[in-house]
Amino acid sequence: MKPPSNESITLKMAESEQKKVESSLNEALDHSAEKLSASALSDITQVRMQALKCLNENNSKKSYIDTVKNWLTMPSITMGLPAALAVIIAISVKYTALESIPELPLAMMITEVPNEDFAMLEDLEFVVWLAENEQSALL
Amino acid sequence: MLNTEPALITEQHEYSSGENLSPPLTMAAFLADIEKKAYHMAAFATGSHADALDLLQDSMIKLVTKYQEKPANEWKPLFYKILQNRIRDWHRHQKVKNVLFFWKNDDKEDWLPTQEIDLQTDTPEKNMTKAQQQQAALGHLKQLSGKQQQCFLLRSWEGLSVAETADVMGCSQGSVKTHYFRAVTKLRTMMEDDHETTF
Repeated sequence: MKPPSNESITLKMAESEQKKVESSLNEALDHSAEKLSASALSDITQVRMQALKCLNENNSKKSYIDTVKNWLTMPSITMGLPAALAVIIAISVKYTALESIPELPLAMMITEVPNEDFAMLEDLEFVVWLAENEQSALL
Repeated sequence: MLNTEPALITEQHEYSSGENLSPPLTMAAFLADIEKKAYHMAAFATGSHADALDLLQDSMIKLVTKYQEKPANEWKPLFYKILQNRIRDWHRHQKVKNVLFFWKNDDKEDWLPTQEIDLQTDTPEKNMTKAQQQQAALGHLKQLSGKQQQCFLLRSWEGLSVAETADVMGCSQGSVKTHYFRAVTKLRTMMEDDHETTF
């Protein structure tokens, strides 16, 4: 049987030494963590509580967003919302179209204007034309 | 039926590394589990109780607000990555502060791991010696460089793998191995010097 080489023995010794250092330090650290002062422990707990408060706030915000999202993705909403929008748009367009053409006042309707008024207007226009002609002749 | 408690259900995750046997863990339980170790890491890095608490709080809040939806087995490396980034930012900030206010000697190191070990109790002599050895060991850890210190804490104390430590520290796996080897070698030398013991 081949005896272990010097290199492998050195390596094993180094490994065991390393493990001893590690275990010694870990033990010291664990002890230090266990023996934290009451004030330090209370401070750390407060820090944790603050973080958990943020977690709850975040969750409640998220649940509200989820509720709204669920509501919006309901089939009746997904079908009904575009239809309702289309109806609203159609109605608003119709109203604006009617509003864009103002109704004629009744007095201007030809049917309502008496025939005598037209005759009188024609006479008046003729008198004005005569007067203008006379004036131009005088000049 | 309406979902009455979505918040409680969403924060339930399985806290295991691929094993189904581990019980489900909430974010609250996870934070309670790691808080002391995380505090120690931050305190070792900053040397200040208040700064360590600030870094711890920032890291916890970032984890719960941004990454709570991630699987629970990813929480630990994620949390330590956030914490290491915060520690790095803190060091940068301190460097700038020291350059700008060079006339001020703002050395506010108020945290020492040795403070936490109670040597005043009437323990037997053996326990006393052990406590003193532990105190000395923590003092040695404090003398390491920042990267070596954090590398040792993450690898040895927190039990992260080389790959996870590399990801957390933002360096290559080779660098992690080098930092770790140097840290252990330095610690061993210091401990040998102290106790005149050959490990």
